[in-house]
Amino acid sequence: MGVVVGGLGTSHVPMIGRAIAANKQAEVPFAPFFASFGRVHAWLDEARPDVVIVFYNDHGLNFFLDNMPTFAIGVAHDYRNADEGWGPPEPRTFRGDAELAWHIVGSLMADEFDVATCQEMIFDHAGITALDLLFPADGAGHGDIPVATIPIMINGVLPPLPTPARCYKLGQAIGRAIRSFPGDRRVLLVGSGGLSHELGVSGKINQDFDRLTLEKIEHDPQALTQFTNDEIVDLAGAQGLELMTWLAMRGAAAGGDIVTSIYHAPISHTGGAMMLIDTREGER
Amino acid sequence: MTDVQPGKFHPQAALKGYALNRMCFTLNSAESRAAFTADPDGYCARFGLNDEEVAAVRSRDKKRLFAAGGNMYFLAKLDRVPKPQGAR
Repeated sequence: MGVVVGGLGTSHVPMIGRAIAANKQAEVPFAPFFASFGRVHAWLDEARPDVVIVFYNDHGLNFFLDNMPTFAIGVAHDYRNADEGWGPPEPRTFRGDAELAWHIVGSLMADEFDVATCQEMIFDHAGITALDLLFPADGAGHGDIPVATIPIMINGVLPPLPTPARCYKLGQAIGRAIRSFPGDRRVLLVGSGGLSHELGVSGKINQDFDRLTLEKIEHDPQALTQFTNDEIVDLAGAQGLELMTWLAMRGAAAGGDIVTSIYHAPISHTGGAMMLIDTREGER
Repeated sequence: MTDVQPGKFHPQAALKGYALNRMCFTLNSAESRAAFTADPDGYCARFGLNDEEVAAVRSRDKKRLFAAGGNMYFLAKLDRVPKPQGAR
């Protein structure tokens, strides 16, 4: 049986990845953001997930406008990174979980979510940064990722985009899919994105809206599904729409209790945030 | 064209900018970035950019790039290529 052990939302600003690569987590102005992951790492030792499902938005790496799905799920045995324009990165491979991923696809289709399936998928910084925050190296560079990964891309690139309500419902359907899996899996859901920011524009951070978002993600995620996409753009910037990934995460990882949470603004030009929710039942 | 607000759906913008975005998408690769840097106009011509798109690329001005149908996730690739001399 599949078990949802928890949900985590995090920002994935490229500057976070650069600080990790340079082993400068304690020296950057947003050091408290990294420090807050201490609680996450202790929790991971306890909750022992073996699969991390990452909701993220592709940043013009794997998907182009010739074929732009609204929701796309990785069903591959592994995923690789690639040059995103900053220069060729050290090649990395991330282990997938094709068996669970295909089960989720079958369950989603029966649940009327017609997702695109990807048997090859290049994974970008939006997903990789989240994994590196969860499983850091002892010293410089990145650690080994000890879990399987299933990337789920939510279109945040080419409007019209899925609504917040639809993303939340997708998450709920994925929660049902995990719980109906016949094998044993302990699954952590990750929403990677946000909070408020707009690429190409500095200073478009809305701290009030970000704090409201965190409060609602914890206590009343349904309230956030009342916003239209355009309202989120006006409140949180064009890339504030990455909030969709947190809503999908929270739809799948429902209930539970907050383990830790931080809001730190700015990280680069973004309202930086992380929240971990423990949804284990009868284990705590 | 009226102002395009990134993140919102503008059917008139959706009809534009494909060649511009296609060119920017290729800049993920180091080889393409080198080719673009060596001859920006020639590189744009290979992807069939129209005059408005080429002028917007030359200017690197976001307002013009958005008006030409550019999408920020692909324009970010252009941002990662050092500006050619003479660009304003």
